[in-house]
Amino acid sequence: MALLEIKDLYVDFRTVDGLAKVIDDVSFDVKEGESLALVGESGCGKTTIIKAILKILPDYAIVRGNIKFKGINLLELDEDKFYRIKGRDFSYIPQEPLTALSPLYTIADHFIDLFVFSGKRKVSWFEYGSLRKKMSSEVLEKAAEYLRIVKIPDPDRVLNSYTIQLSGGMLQRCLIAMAIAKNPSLILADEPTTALDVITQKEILNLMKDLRKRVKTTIIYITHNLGVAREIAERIIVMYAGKIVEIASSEDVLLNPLHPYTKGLIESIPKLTGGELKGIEGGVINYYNPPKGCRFHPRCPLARDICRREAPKLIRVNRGHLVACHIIGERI
Amino acid sequence: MTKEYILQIKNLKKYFPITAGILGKVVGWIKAVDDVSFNVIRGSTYAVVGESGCGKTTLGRTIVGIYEPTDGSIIFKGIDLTKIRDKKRALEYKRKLAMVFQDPTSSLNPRRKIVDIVTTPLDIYRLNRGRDKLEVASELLKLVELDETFLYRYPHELSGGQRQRVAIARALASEPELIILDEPTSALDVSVQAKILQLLERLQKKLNLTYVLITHDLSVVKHVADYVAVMYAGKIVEEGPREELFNNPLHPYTRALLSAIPVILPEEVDFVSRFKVPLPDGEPPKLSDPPPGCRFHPRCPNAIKGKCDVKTPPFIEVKPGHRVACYLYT
Amino acid sequence: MRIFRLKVPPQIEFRKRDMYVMVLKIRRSPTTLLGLIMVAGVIFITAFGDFMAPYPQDYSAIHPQITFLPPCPEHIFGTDELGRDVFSRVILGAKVSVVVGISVVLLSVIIGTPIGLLAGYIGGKIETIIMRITDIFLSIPSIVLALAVSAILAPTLENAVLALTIGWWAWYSRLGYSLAVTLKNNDYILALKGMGASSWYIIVKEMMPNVIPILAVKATLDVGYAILAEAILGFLGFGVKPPTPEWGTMLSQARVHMPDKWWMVTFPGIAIFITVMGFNLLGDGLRDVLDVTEQ
Repeated sequence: MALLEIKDLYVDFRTVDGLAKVIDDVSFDVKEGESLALVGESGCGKTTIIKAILKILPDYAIVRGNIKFKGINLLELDEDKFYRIKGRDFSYIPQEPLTALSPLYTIADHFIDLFVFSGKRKVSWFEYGSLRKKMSSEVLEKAAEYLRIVKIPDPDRVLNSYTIQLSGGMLQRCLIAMAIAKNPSLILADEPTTALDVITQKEILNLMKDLRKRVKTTIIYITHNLGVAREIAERIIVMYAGKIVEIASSEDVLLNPLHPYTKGLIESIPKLTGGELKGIEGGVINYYNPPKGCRFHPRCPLARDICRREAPKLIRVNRGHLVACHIIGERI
Repeated sequence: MTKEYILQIKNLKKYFPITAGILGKVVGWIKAVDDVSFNVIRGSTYAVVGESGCGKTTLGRTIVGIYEPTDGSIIFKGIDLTKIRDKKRALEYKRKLAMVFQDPTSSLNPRRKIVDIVTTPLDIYRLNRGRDKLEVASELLKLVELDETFLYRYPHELSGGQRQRVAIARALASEPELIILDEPTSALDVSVQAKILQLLERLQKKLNLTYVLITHDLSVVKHVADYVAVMYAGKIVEEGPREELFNNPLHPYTRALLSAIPVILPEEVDFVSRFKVPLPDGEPPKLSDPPPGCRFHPRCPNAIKGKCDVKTPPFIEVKPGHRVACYLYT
Repeated sequence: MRIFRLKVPPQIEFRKRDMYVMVLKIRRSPTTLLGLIMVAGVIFITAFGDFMAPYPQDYSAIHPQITFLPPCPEHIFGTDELGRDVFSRVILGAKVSVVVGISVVLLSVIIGTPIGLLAGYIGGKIETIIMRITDIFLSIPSIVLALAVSAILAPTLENAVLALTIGWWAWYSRLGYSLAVTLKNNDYILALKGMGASSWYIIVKEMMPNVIPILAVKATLDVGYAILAEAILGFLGFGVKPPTPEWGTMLSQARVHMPDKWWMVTFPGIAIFITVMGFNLLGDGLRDVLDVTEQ
């Protein structure tokens, strides 16, 4: 049984402009211990999926479908039970380190809060005070250890620092330390290195690869950068306009891309070894009135009649390689 | 065949004062651009690469005239722009220099129509010549492959890629000879970036433009640049023709940068793994308080004590056209 | 608040597009429309009051035999302590109040805003000088300042406008200043500066479109307050001299006759209310109408 099973997921946003069909019939599995990258350009829905799993979507989001974690459907769970699972099993690394943490508290405070609030939906003031007192020293000892694991040389100084006193790279390491400190079953990382410069990014990626050598935590990594996905992930899911267009191992996606969008994406990336640069015609779709049939057909060089009428289903073309395309599906 | 330098930057410095107290006493300087020199050949693309905070954006803005240089010369088409006192003459030269900014959302006035935005340079440089504003604007939009229905729209009605095309159209309005592109595609998706880069290439050939491209993305540089300069903490640490620099990077920082690029093809992985460098620890220094000597020495795996931490290394030519500022090569 | 997305047909001729969008926006907001109607009504009365008042001579004429008449068919708002038709005087009084109100705001905008914009954009010594002067004027409440000036000058319409403007311009200077400071570091302004555009060009052509929506809203709302301020001046005995009909003065003189002769207070009061309310509603809706970035 896979650790996480997403089936027939639909997410709509009800806004003043109408109903935005942001996620349209998404299904995929995440195996225990694997490192999976969710790749796509801005607005394709990758962050929305993560937020759907964590149930942190805004009020105007309507979620339909199945999100099963260890066999339990999270969408049907009541609040308290869900929070317990979330606290115990999930960890989230957000995109912007500076805005992910409160500027009014030190890193130490954040660590303590992490454990005090873990698994509980509400904590009364009194509870907070007493729990804090009880857990502080133990948590801080652990925290220092984890900060060392993420290669922060002086954990005590960092623990007592406020967010503005630390650089982006440092903050991101702290966030990673916080993410692993609770020994989660699943880490959800949302473009954690996008805001960092290239060298720091490489260091963080190396760090994450090392950490996975120690403990094989399952990780879903969101990025728009295929290069980063190749570094960190074993399997890549390519998304476009709220749908999954291709799933394969990192190697297969990059060396043998099948979906026209994936191919177009790879051709758009300037390569160090040269080669012509090609973009993808057309632009972002209108989620309020998406194209009928395959959402990519207006921009697809291979589009035919059936593409305009029917949305293609994800079909297996090879071991572990799935594509959602009428044309390619036919050829295989 | 003599090379014609359309732009020569000589010992350019731009320092920003740090003030403290009610009276605004100057207590220090942010040395964003610290003694930078390079030459740009007409018709080529000269790339300045560096990470955020290295001063490259300040460099671009100083060249174009948004900031007054603290010291040094900007010689454009043989004339030192910093020495022109007469405003009218200055405008004559300024119109041949244009700039495209990084964020297309903030570089276009949200409350002005596209037609007004692209013809703004015409008003500033008084180039109207009696032609209908609409006509000129239509032509400009055609150059950047935008339909004329965009003329009466506002920036927020356009996508990021379209806005950047408008920004390019505006830069072209005064018929410039040199365009400074400050991270023109960083805010765009990769598929849009490819199209904008293609457009820029076409325009360069068609209009005989020279580009100074400022970016942090080395892959883009490899594709479009003829010459590359690597900037770190306000100084240029290495400079050379594209192929030479990528095949034979000399400065430890350049090597670290190249090794850190996230690549996708196996050939690229091989290419990059030639630089088996340990990644430098720490972060780039604060421009207000740079380390003595070579700015990179605290992070450099090859730093020589007593040499690198004392005096800034001289910028010397190691191979024809390939210069480095590093004691490893003196 | 957007209720539905505007559907602008693409074939609408380019130049008129702005107007078309503005009309659409006004049409869909009932409060704005109401405000517009109220203001239009008030301005109409101001302009054509002389022809609408049934007893225009009651501007100054007195009729001792019909004093304190309650509302009746010949005098629908009744008569005041001097036998003058209240309805006519309310209509005639509109002229004073509305003209003063609009003039004060117009003058304050024209004088104050450019000064503030200049100070904010140029900076340096000019900024310091201008803003400190502005601060001095701001530290005294507008009405107090106006009262002080009124007390010194002769009680004419022009002087009332002058007095109120002295108390009001500084707010627009402050507004212009803060807007200029916020806007001047935007990339699109820097881009123009780099091109060599003169400060004049930047302020007028680039900053103004960003400033006008906010200005229009504040100005429209302020007209209501200026009218109120004018009424207060009149109420306290400053501003225009009797027998000139003016809503505030009418309220002041009628106060002693409350509550018996209620019509003398109620109708001028309602007039003030409708006028101020109209401008408020209009000003509120204007923000949405004039902001091109919101559709």
